[in-house]
Amino acid sequence: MLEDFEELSLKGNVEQTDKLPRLSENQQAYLKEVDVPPEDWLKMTEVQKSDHLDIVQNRLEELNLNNMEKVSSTNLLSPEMIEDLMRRLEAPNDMVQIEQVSDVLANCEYLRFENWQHLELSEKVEVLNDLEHRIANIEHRPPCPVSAVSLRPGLWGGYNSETKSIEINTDYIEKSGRDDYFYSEIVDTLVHEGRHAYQDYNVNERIVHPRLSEVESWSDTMAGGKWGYWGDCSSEIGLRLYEQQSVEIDARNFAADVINRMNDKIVA
Amino acid sequence: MKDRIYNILLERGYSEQYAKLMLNDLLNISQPLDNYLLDWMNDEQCQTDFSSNGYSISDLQKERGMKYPAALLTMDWLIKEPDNAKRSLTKNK
Repeated sequence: MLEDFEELSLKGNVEQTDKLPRLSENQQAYLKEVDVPPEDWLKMTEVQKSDHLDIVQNRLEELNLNNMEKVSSTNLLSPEMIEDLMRRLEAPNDMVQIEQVSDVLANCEYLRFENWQHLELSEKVEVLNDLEHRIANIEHRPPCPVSAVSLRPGLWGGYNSETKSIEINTDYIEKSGRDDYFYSEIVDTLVHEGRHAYQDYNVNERIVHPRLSEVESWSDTMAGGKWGYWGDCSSEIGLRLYEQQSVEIDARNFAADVINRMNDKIVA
Repeated sequence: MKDRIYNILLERGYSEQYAKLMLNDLLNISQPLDNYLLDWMNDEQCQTDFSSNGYSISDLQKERGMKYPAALLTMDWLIKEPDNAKRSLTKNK
């Protein structure tokens, strides 16, 4: 019975492989038309690249080519362009993101507490900006500027969906150089707010998150969504309901998983 | 009771979405907060203070800018799940 089942599933795979699109010579030429040599690609601005990738993406859709491995294997487009195209397409799943982001944090020398405590406020902000760039790259989204701002006590930071920026409480960044608790929470805040940037990007700009159902649930608790309560609405509805927003639960869990993995890696 | 709470929230500036969202929690609010809610429903100026786990309703209103029903619900959370609520109050992100 098991053998029968295995045979059936193998047969199924073969059929599926056969169904992958094969490009005719005309189709290959059509795709090749939009290729840009690597040396030219690297000279283009981000806006030019983005506009061009829109054209490439349209052609791939016309040709029904949604398998990037297949696109890559045709050698019709330069690897640099495909790499940028893949980045704007699908982000790694959460488990991979957690591993990669925690690697970035664990391997950042400046972020080691023994080094961090000696940095000036401006240097700490610079490190946080550098980390945000790396995290954004993993999450296939544009990086947000990170700044230190004066916020009320108890509020660690926030992601501003209007300015697409991350703000972190200056007072707590300063304390993070003297107190391990504040240090750990600053790193958690950076990852937490970065996750909000990722949610915002997925809901309002481009879906790169592998699970559409999660993006839909984030959308429910953002401006214009089913529940439409985005931002710090705890003054209206209380803290517990605020924390139950899908975007908050997700950001909290993601950041906690990243910090746990980071600590595992630092200890090991 | 449900309709009355809902309508009063609307009259006092809450959106339909927020009012619907809060309704269930307000209906199940702990003692003595349930009586304070009734007092507030009868008279908006009546905002009785109460303390628990190191926080008071008036502090939540003053320091966090909470409306009275929001402060009541946060206090309810402090009563029901003090550890989670306190963690959230010190780690607002």
